[in-house]
Amino acid sequence: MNPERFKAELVPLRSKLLHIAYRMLEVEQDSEDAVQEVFLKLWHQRDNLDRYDNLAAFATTMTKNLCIDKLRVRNRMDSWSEEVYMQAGPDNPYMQLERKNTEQVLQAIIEGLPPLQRTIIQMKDIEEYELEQIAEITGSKIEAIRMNLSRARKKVREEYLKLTS
Amino acid sequence: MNRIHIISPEEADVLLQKYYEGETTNAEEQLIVDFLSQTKIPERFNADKAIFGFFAAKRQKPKAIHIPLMKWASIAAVLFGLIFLGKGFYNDKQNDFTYINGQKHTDRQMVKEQALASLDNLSASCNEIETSAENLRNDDLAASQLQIFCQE
Amino acid sequence: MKRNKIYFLLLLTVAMMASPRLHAQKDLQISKVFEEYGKMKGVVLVELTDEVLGNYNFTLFKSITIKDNPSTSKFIRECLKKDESGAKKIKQVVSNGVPTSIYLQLPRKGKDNRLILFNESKTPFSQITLIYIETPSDTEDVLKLLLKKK
Repeated sequence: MNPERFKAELVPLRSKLLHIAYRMLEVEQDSEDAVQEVFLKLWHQRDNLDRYDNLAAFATTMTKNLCIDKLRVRNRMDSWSEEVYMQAGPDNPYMQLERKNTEQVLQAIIEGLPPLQRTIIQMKDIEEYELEQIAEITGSKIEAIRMNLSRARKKVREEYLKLTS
Repeated sequence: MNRIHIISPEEADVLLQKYYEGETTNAEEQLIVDFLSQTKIPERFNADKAIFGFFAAKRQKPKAIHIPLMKWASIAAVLFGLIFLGKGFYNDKQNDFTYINGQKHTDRQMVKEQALASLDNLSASCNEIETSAENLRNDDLAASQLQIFCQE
Repeated sequence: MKRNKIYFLLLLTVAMMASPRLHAQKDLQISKVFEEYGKMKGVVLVELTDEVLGNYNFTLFKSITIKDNPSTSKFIRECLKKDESGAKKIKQVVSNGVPTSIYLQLPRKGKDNRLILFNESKTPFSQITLIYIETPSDTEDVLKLLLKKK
């Protein structure tokens, strides 16, 4: 599926998906993030999307399942905050990376980011998408993408300092 | 003589703050890169240097790394054999996967979606058969057989 | 790209041989279908364990969808015929003398019911779907869920 068709067929579903996400997650920021994540996933699967008869249903299911997973994590997460996503911890594999090179440490940090942040930072800082492009793909405002990019970049720095000090 | 304008550490502080807010332009990021590429910079920039260096390297690296096939395959086969022997046969969720056109994906979300999509194929064809059964006026048999499957 | 694909497949062959899950339905002929066609082009293979789909619990969910390759149908139907012989219940939808959908309920495995669902459709394109399920839930209920109209 080419980018034009992607924008024409999927981005119009945004408000419906946002509505579904908000009904389930009840937090505006979380539902915005969920929709961004769904669109970016669909984008990365765009070559396979032609096999689906009903894209709207597919996107809806994806959104619901994503929200269910987020709710599960939320319920488990009460006192943990984002540590659940981050693999950083005294007993974890990349504490042993101290002597390994910087590249491996940063690779591990990025892989440990929450999926949305990981995708956005990859698209911006590695694949060199512009913020405007990412905003177009997700149908979001640029500010919303910028915010997640900022969070991701800050998190990477924070984790790097934790692991190397 | 053309010299690249290198910003001062104080200017770098300002730009880096913008960077972590996600607000830098490409040109500004290039200024940061040029600054961090210097050999002697204050220690406070060490983390930033590592991060920027990482992304720069990732951008330049071509996606496919060409390693002699047999060497890679044999190394990998041995490693995987060892890993799985070591892991033993315990039930863990990382066994969930989907292969699309021969490409493996283990993202749980994606796997679930593919599972649901395959179920849709069954109910989709129910619709098809039902439509064609309606068109075959004399084919009551097919329609009643359909009943067995497509009950709401 | 082709080279990558070859050694990727090699890696995964090794990995898959060590994977415990495939042995779960080793006694069934259809396990050959998943092994044989699972990683081909035009094929989607899924394996999920201990998942909830639409309010029903699935201990194991395996599916394979083969697009534009109707020649695979013969082998798959042969496997199904063999597994049919051990089945508790068989349901079929037949169109023009050919079963287009086949549903088998197999003997239980522990607390789990086992189902095989097969469908072959020819329009608008050739698509074969084979699903194997192990679930503690009631099979009639699960079947209704799985096959409800869109």
